[in-house]
Amino acid sequence: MSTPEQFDRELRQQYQHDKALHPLPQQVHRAIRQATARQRAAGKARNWRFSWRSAQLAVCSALLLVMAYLLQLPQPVTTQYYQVLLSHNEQYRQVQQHSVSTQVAADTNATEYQHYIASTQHTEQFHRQIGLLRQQQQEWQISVCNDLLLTIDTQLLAQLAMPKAVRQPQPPQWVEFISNSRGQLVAIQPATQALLCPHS
Amino acid sequence: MALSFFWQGSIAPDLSAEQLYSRYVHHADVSALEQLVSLYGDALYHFLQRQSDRALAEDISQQCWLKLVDHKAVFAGQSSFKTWLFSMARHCLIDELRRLKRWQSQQLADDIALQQSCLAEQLQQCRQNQQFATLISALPFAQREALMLQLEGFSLTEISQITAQPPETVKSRLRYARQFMQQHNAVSGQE
Repeated sequence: MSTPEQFDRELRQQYQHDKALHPLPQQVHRAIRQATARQRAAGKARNWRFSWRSAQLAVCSALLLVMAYLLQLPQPVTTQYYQVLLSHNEQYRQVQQHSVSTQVAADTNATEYQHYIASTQHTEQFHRQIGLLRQQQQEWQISVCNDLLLTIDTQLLAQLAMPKAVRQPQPPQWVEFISNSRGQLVAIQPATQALLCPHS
Repeated sequence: MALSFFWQGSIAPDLSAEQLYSRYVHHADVSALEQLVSLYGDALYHFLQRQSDRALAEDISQQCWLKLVDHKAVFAGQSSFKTWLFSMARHCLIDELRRLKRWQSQQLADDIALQQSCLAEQLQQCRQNQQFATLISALPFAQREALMLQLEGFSLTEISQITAQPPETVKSRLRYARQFMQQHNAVSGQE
């Protein structure tokens, strides 16, 4: 009769021996392998779909980032220059064509007007004249009797300090136009009185 | 951790069954499942075969592993993976035995006293053949499964979990089974 310990040891040995004689049949291994292969194929398809979606998402995100970056970039400053072309014709002794372009340097009219408002001695720096404002097709004109004709292009007009009432297209009206020391227009205001021309 | 991403193909040999299962489920690592099969496939099949027959054991083994492959059975980590696996297999086996109307007879066989006369004949054969398998097959279903599970390395608590029986019942079944085996000197007879 063996001791309990000996019996237990022998029992375990017998069990292990018996287990070794009965391994999992190969057909079960095969069935598991086939099932895992199916799973793997399905997984790969899932991964591919996931990768494709991820790639799309990544591209969209990158595009959004680029767009956001471009929008954040400071817009290139296009410097506009005030241009005055002088001439004369039969009717006017002097014709001034005021316009803005990217070719010639110009001060910002708003700043000039602010200077005018702030200045107590503006009479030295600015000229105030009264003239008749009228719209002619794509440009505006201010005529001062037969002495002076100012043509103002619409782009410059948009930058000038002037009340909305003056800006509206309407019949010719008397306005007071203010020029700086360089002869550049800085503001146009409604005139309180008409100009009396000696020849008109 | 980050490097493990590049080593998905190879598995460290010291990974636990629970870690292997996790690798299979979360990383679709088929080699982890294959390693689980190689760890427990034979033991499970052996247990099922001793509790039923070769065909049924084969069928239930396959069912269990395929449930795992298809994620139809999910290990929740409330016990060890091996305990859970054997528990699932036992349920499948009992369901199948019930379906085949073989469960009732297996349950009745739980009472060893009723079997004494039968056993005497079987033991005679066992002594002659000196086969462990024959002797263990002579045990009633419940005692046999308790003893098989203990020999497989499960603790009393784990056997209790697998068989859904109180530990005291398991202990008593083990005592009867061991007494029976020792009494008939099945093991020493092999020497």
